[in-house]
Amino acid sequence: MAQTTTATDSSTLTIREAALRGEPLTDTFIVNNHSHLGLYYGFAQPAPDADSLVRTMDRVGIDQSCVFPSLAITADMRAGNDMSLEAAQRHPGRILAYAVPDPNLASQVRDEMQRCIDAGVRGIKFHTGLHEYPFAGPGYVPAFELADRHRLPLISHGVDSPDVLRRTARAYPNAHFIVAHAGAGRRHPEADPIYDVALEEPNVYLDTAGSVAYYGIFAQLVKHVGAGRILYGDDFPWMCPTHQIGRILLAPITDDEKKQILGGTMQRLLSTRQ
Amino acid sequence: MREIPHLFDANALLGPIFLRHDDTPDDVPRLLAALDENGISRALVTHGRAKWQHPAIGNRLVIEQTKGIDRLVPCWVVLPSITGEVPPERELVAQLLESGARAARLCTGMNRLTLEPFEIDTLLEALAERRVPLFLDTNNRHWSEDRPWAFIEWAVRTFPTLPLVLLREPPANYRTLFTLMERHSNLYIETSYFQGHDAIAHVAGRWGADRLVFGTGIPEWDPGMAITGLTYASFSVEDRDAVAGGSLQRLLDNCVV
Repeated sequence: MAQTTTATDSSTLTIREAALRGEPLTDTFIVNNHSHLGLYYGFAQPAPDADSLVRTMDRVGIDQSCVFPSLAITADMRAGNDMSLEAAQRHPGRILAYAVPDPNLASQVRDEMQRCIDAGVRGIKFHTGLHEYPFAGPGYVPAFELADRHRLPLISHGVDSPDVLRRTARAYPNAHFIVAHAGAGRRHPEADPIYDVALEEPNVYLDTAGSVAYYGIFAQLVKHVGAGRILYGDDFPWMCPTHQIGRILLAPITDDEKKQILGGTMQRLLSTRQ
Repeated sequence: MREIPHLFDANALLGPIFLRHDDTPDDVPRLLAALDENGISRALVTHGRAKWQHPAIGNRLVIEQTKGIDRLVPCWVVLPSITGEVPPERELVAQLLESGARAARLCTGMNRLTLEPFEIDTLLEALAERRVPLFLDTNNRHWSEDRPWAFIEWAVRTFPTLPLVLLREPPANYRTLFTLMERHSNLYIETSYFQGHDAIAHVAGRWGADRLVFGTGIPEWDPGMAITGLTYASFSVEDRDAVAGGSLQRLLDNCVV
């Protein structure tokens, strides 16, 4: 049974109203800055392929997704990066390939990053946790240098510490640093030093991907750091975009703030590539 | 254009909760306002003091504070009776139903329950006799935490008339969960944390939408993700509406009052 509330024109809906109805958000440009692809050993993930991702994007109204396969952040950097490039070729303009360096293979990182940049990747992804490698370690330096030279987004799961992030952001001022999962799952925005870095460094941003979401905290974070520092991400297929986008769509913030977070800012970061 | 579904939240708390903040809706008027803001029509509510103080206190409060408010359906926290903290099991369940409550919540880790059969079998038997749905609350936060699978398997196998609902079931346990969903029709999933890609539609397509109940975890958890996880799920409007509230209502209606 559904509520009797009806509307005849989806273009008149607010973002909240569209979300409650499950209507695609056709009037808002949405960029998901954090997606994986492919099978993962750790747990079953239904429909983890690029075609399934695009179908889900269509259902919600997501225009673009930045992808870095689970294979790339685990056992095989090169094969995983090839998966991204193939997915981007299969879905031009919808899937944006990122390059993943495996810093444990330090001697290969520069050539692999350059290969991916030449092939058209739109950003770089680190996973310091799965790769068990510090953000400030030398194995990542070629990736930092290339992100800076080509003015690319660089999203990292793990940044060692707020101070390391600050020093790195200042050392590579043309790269756009995105702290994965930092836009979600923390309790005290006003007291968390990672947010001081986002407030003070012009090239540091926060990604919303994350399963944990305490009541009311997302709106507090938007108020604290400003919508322009926060980027929508959904962690597909570890998490479902249909769930992940809800923390933004139904948050007690303005539609203009939602549009910034959903894609406005990320469009700008993607446009600086040289 | 799709209509807004009637959302009946299976996982809500009323009153003060641990680690709440200034924006937490911690009384009836604030909870009702928060439900309105999120388009939630009704909620099955456990009292925060039943979970974070004691069932003997919170169960009384949830009845008092929901009296006359049709949108809020009370749910009790239950315990074994051996310590004398609550009445004997059959009496406890009878009181639960007489009070107007239609569901029970078992707070496993918080109440330091081992979930061994010798500890919990009398309570589950009493609930099963009256078909009172039991909501399993492990107070879990992240998907990587362990779940009490041996207990869950024993409970649904031993008490087939007991509907067992897994609150905040995470997206990382399908290899175990799906085995039990296949074998035991009295096992249900609450959807607030069930956010693996396409997982809700997958379960609805394989075992039926009536095996899923919509929940949010309000006011501890952000309800937005649970709501859009349902409204944008890749299934029919009929399945969506069943998960949104039909499945829960059926479970509550099946209590032997």
